[in-house]
Amino acid sequence: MIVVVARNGDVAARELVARWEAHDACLLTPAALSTAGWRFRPGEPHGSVAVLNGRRTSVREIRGVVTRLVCVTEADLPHIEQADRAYVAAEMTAFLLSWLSSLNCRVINRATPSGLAGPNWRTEQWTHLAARIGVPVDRVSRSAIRGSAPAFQSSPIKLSVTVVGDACFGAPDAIRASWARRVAKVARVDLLEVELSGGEGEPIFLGARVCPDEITSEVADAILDFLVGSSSRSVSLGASA
Amino acid sequence: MILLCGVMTEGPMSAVYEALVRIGGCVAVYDQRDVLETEVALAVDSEVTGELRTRGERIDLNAVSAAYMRLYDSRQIPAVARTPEESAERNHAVNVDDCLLSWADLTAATVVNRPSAMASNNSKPFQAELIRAFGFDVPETLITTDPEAAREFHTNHRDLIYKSISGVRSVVSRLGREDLDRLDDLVWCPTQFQQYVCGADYRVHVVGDEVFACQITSDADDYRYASRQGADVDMETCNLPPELADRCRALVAAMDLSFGGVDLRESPDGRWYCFEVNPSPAFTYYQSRSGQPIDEAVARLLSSAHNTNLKTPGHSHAEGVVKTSQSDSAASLCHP
Repeated sequence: MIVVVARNGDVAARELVARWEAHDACLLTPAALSTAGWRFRPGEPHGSVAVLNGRRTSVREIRGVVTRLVCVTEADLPHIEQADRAYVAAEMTAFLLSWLSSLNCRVINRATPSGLAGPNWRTEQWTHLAARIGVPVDRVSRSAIRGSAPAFQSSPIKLSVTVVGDACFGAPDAIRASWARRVAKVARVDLLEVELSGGEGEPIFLGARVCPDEITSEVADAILDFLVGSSSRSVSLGASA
Repeated sequence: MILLCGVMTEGPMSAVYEALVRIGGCVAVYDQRDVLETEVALAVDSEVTGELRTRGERIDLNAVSAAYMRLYDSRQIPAVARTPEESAERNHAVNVDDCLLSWADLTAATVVNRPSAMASNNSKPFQAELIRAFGFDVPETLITTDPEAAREFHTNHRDLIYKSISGVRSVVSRLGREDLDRLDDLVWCPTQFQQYVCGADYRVHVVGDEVFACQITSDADDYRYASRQGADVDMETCNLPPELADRCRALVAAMDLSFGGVDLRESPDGRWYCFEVNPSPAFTYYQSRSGQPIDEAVARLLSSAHNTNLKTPGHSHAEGVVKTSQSDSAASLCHP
């Protein structure tokens, strides 16, 4: 079983679940945490029970997890009374951080305290990291000035390069592929969309996202390979064809 | 320059400020109550530079070599809380918070503590696994939406407590008979239960390499809220076994914290349980009862980082505080 952790309206997540039907993929939304049956013993994860597709499931059945949810928000919880939503959202986020961190299967990306889908960094943090490992960046300006909208310097994004494990998609040359891989490696993430400027002159790093909005077919296949291995994927696809 | 960011009327902030003044520290202050009259500008590449303008003064963030930060969500500040949702004032306050948090995570200055390092406290069971790795005992825990699982756990342990999973501060409560009648409500949200561990409570403040331990005696389930249960709290300074003190130091350091409050309980059979590491401890609650000079240790930590960073290339030696308008209430004070 492959679990895609995402909010209810995440179209890309639903597409992944449909694409990986042969692998018994299912969607886990915050609302599914409001279901009787979850049992989690930190320090003894093998005995844990999740509720997936409405069915109580041993975590030992989970072969891989894709997390596309940074945190649970009040907007994810329309079924909870308004007054309790903020508290429940914080509790569910805290639960998912611990639960996802306890899983022995492959998880892309591993949860961190700053974000369930990997480090939930601001553009400044990604830029700082890239610059410190020698990737060309434009200095990012950020300000909070009274009477002004939040000011972010922004350049048009011309190019998105996606890293999945050791694979890299969308890079026009080896240098830019190497930049994206290095940023992902230092950030300790297995899935990363790196945004680069294009146009005249040398391209520069603009930012990165641990949750790409759109997932192409080749990226989806690479994620599946990462989770279950390419041989397993071929066998399953062959069997379902 | 040492920067203090927080609500200056709050005990820990004012205690550290006073302690820095006593040792002649060069201190700049951002009082979060002034958030609506505060501006921040940052520029980031391989370094982070910027300035903070508050109460008519400009604080050069490049000249900050150490910072003590106890920032709240500015929306809780009364002047902001009175403004409408989505108002320009509220958005500005949130933006100031975010800029300062971003600076605190990226600056080369010593920050007590960096926001990224404090984040593990947002999930108690996540943090508990870090704690367990340092050889502390952790109470058996069940997080569940299953009323039957909670009943089984209760049957096995007889005596349970329940508390929040997240960093939202909640009162730790013993599971009583009346609670067993409302376990069906668990289905709405995962809830954390733990075996109740009896024994003596200790709060250990680790400040750099310094360790301040005190033993707490109270009949309350959660001594922090003893008065609500009509119970008293007594605190007494104590010395931990050296190995245990070292373990507390190592745990706090491994979490990238330079200041932390470690909650321990020694069970009657001599096991040391660790419940939590608080990355932003309200230490004055303990200091006022135990008499331990924790504020002075925090001041020494900041001052020592200041002196070390002054010798490090990349740090300005400038005082970094410039008055930009007449102000009779100085936001920053240098004490030679």
